[in-house]
Amino acid sequence: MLKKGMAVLKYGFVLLIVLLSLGPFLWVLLASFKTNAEILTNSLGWPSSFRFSNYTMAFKIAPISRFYINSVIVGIFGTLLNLLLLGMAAYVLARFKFRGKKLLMGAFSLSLLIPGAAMLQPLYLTVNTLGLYDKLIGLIIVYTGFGLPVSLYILSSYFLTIPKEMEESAYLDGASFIQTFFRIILPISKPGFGTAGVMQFLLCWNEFQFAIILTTGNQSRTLPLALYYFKSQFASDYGVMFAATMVVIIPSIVVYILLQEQVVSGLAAGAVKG
Amino acid sequence: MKRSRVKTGITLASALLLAMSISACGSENSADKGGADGAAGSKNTAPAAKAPVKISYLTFRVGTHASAKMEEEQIKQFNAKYGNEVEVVVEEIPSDAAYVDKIKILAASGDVPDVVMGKDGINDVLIKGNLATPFNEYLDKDVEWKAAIGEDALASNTRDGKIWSISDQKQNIGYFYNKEMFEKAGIKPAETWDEFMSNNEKLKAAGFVPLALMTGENAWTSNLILAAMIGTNGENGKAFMNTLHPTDFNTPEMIQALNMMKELLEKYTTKDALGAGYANAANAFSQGKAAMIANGPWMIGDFSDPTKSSEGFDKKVGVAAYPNNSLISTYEVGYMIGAKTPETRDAAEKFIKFKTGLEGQTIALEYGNVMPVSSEVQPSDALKEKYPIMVESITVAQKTQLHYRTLDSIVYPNVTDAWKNLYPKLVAGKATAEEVAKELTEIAAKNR
Amino acid sequence: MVRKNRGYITLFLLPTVILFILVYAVSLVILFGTSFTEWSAGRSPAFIGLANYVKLFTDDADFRQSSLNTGIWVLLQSTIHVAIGTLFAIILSMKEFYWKFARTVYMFPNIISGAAVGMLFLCMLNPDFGAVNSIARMFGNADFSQNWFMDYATAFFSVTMTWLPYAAVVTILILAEIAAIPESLYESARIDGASTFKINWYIVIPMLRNIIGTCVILSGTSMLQKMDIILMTTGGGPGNETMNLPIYIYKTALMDNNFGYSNSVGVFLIGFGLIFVLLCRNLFRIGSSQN
Repeated sequence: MLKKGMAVLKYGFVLLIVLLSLGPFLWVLLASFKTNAEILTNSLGWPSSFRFSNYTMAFKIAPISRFYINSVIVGIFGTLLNLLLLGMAAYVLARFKFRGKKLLMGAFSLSLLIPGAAMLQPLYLTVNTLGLYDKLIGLIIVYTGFGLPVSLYILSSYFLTIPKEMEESAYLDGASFIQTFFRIILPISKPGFGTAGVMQFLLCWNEFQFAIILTTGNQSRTLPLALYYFKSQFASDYGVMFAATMVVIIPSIVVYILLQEQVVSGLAAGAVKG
Repeated sequence: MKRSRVKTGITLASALLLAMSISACGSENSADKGGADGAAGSKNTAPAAKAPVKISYLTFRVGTHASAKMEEEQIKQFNAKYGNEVEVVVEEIPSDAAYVDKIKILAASGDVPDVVMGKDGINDVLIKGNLATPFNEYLDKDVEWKAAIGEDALASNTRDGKIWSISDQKQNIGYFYNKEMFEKAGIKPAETWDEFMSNNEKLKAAGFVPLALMTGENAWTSNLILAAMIGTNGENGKAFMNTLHPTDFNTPEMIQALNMMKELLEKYTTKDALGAGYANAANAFSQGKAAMIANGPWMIGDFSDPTKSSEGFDKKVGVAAYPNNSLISTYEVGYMIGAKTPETRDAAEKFIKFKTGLEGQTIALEYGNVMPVSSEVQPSDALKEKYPIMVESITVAQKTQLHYRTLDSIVYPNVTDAWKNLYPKLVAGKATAEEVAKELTEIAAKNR
Repeated sequence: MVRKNRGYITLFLLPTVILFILVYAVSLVILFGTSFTEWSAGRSPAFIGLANYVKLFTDDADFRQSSLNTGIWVLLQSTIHVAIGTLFAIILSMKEFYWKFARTVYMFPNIISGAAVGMLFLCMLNPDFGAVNSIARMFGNADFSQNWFMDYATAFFSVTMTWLPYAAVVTILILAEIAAIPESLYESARIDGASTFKINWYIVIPMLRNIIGTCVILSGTSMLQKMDIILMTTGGGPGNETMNLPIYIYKTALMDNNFGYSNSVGVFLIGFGLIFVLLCRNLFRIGSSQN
């Protein structure tokens, strides 16, 4: 009896979570095919026909394709750079004792807390002084920094689960510090890197406020800015706005599904370490 | 196998990064500040083949913005005419709010663009920060341009004798109404506020939602009506609505207007008005859900746009002035010169002169249904035929006798930002009109 | 080992330290320094001592309300949110037929940018044509038109619901960690006749101490940055019901044009966050290896 009750509770919980997650997404998907009038009068129903005019319109109004390319570049390099740098730092912080470690951890934790609005002006100054204003590389560096705390926490807590014996046996085999990190630690930390990578990619893909402050030309702007082409003052076309939203969302979902498989395949490697 | 892949991956990534950073640094960026460029350019090049002076310009009139087409056309025509002298480097900032934020960040860093639109308090920031150049000398040199703008428009942007910005448009704002619904309710546009209220009641009785109001964003369509209520309320009200930067909102006119607005929001508007954005209000009217919306002529194009309104909707729309034969009439803040060097200042002036001169005003009227500041600019026959409501709204405007400005154009930007929180508070009864007025006064005092 | 590795330790840390200085340290110094000044866009800062802080703590109702809301949200997010995510991860780790699908779908709302999520909920909860009210109308009450985001009774709850249930990040973090638990541990427990519930409660959850602590910190502190969804849905209203510190910082800087005062709120926010992080680190003994 108790067991049955638990099972009902469990499936109820799973179902609720799935509905809460999928519902809004499907609603926007349906709305992106509707006309304005349909959205306003028949918000739950099926669109009268699956018209793609909202999508073509969306591509016409905002420079979406250019922004796409930029977002892909920023997303990929912002993620790789972040994982490389933070992987190294997190490894050292998780594994070794040295002077100033506490101070460093404290300082890095601060980066989790600085309010974004308070960083707008100082970061603009820094980026401009370094000559990185309006350059993709500037955005990549800034986003690599924004992901610092999250990646650091995720990776170092993952490294902590790896038994020390793994490295000790590598050292006994005569491997160097760097070899040990790249050949032993990195491969078995794939799930950790996968998770941190997903978080970092999403950050790069979705950030808006700094993207608009730190760039001026369309050659260095990213996709979230495209969304705002549809919500200017005195704009009122919902259908196109939802279509643009889908255009921005769908690639990140695809990337997530792909990366997720990487994470899953890494799970098998994780089991080795017991 | 796996290990080497990781390694090559990392090597590849760092190589690519390096390559990217080099190429990024190598290609001179087009958006570099015009100042340094212009100065260096004039020194090095021979006078015969003088490179065009680069000026930077930020615009939020992009994407679905009502004035996007007119902006594009103005820049296109400017380039055709002066492209070899001045190169305008345009930065598109989608969303008005993001534009204001960015200019303020740039101003805080002392780095404003060469040409700046001074709306939403940006003009104050630039003037106080000594980041703008007044137009007085330029205008004195060019009498024709001065005449094309007109005394009134210039006066509205003058502080202590200095003309800080050139207005590019006059906003004549009344309200649009649905003739069909008015007919069914047996009413005509109200001439007094009592009639306005009884009209609402009749519309409601006939089964219609009287007003498309909104309190989200900057509460635009609601605040136009609020402005009319204040502006028509005796000499004090009129004076209030024609004063820049009011600091005392605790006036009988404001309180009375707030109480009326509370009634409108409670009884005579759509269910989603509290918290609604412009899009909700505009759709409520264009989709035939509400009988009236306060807005300016730039909306006229929407009524015959099939993605926004139903077929033939433009035939059902009428335009009216506010009670007491009055109208909102505001000159936009317009354009300012933020350029720092003489070359870029001159170039910026040239660009602004084109945008605000007779040519620019004509483009704005034809492509954006924007009212010109000069009476010399008249709608073309094609435009009149395409948008009969446009002609109607000009006639209505000419008949009005009492004029006042929009709230957005007189109050501090933090007051504009406060309405979206205050209206729901008022309607929920958490604050009386007196308390809201007091709070507005406090907010205005916070502005720096 | 330590002495020999000192060079490598420096080498591994240096890039991140440089990154930290570039992105954060400069901002921190400006933030802290200008919090003692009167500073607005276009003018240079003028030192005014502690005046900003005095005003902040003695005479600012909006600040008090914002701090209170921020505190509540941090608390909710670091408890309920993490609990939902952990529970879901444990259920998924049983790898029943739906687990891959559910894991992917759960991530959707987190994949979408905050502004887009805000826009989406704004439309879903629109009193007039929103999906939620439409469903409510289908089941009986034909006049149902709850204004979720603007009614004092529901605003705080509605905004909270736009992020509280969406704990997919917690779920994937914990799932990755569960995968690292050796299979042999489960097997020996099963041989001893322990139920699934007992295995999870007594074996799995204690092993997740470090990662749960990390999730508590990450989830809690994410509430110190939450801005775009709130701005998009309620804008901090009605009144200041849903105002929080990030919005207050944004408004005082860019609307009131009072950068100095805004930065003093920023300093307060950082101090508040530091206390929270330190508390969590001690509570979960983060950083100590578990074996």
